[in-house]
Amino acid sequence: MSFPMQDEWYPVAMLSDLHRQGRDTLLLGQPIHAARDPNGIPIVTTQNGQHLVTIERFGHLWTSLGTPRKDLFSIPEADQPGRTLVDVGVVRVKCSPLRAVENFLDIAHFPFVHTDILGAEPHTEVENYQVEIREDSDEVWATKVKFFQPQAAKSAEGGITTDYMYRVPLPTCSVLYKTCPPRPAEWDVICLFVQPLTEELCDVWPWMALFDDETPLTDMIHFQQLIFLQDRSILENQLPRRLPLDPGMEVPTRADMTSVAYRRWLKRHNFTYGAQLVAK
Amino acid sequence: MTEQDHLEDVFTIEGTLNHSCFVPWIKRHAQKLGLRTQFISINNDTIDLNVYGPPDLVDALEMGCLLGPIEVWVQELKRVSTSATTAGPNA
Repeated sequence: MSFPMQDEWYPVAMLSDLHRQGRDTLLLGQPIHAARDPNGIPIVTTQNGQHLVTIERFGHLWTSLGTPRKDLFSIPEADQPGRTLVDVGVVRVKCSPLRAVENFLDIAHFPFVHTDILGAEPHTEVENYQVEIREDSDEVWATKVKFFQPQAAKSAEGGITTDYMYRVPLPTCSVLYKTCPPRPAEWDVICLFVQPLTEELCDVWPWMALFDDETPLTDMIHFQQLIFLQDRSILENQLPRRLPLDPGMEVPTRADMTSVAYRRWLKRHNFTYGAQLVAK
Repeated sequence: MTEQDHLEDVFTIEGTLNHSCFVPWIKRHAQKLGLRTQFISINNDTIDLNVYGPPDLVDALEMGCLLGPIEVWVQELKRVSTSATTAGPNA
């Protein structure tokens, strides 16, 4: 097997829940085992005993089946003192890993799927925003995104217009920066780390770095799990099951600019595991 | 919707354009959106065309063309508005 996506980093376990007995799982269809060695060091091995490269970052263990061309991305905001770092857990979703990321980037669905939480009718319009593929970092960025939300975060009281930035640093990872209700000058950071098990099955590991001294950790986790479970029923029923890179069947609109940029970026790098190449 | 609600824009598409498949693809996508198009020039790295129709649907054609079929890489799509006219280009 040799294809561009094998040289990228993927999350395969939550560090706080990784033990000696480990976890049997899949990565891009390949069986792997993630565990701690007798010294407590996280390791990932293939079926034939080959040790894979690893990184411990953002509360998770990351690995790659190939040779990553660069270090795992950084999130400088996550190192700011005073943030609560939240391991949300894992949600298994019967969908393409690329579909899971694309759904995370889609603002227009908020009023209809996350009704009265992340959106509400009649506030359905997505105002114009900016999208670019940044050449220096080779990442997709959407900035100046604004959307009215009845309850933007567990710490929010009442509806607010929320500012967003979206970032795609890896084919199956997205980082969302959004208005921090208790500290409007700062961004809350919410990440979606997706482990591609197969082309149509993935484990999703949300992770957050928030300024919130009030909300109990359990409530923050439950809030994010509620949001993602609302998405899961949509994701598992989308057709075609794989993410189309040819928009022949779907008609993207201006509100889908981030999705279009994400798909263009995937196409440019030949990141096609979980994608449908030709419209059927 | 009246004719005044329609746009007439020129799209200049640049990139690695497999025009033998991309031009029919653009025509099909535009037809699906109910837009009228008129191709001005076609070559391996640039396609120029007039697009005529409602603004949201012209936007949708722009989004579709930016992605395009898998054989095509669109590096850039420049869009220039021309004055709205009462009769758009021929289909």
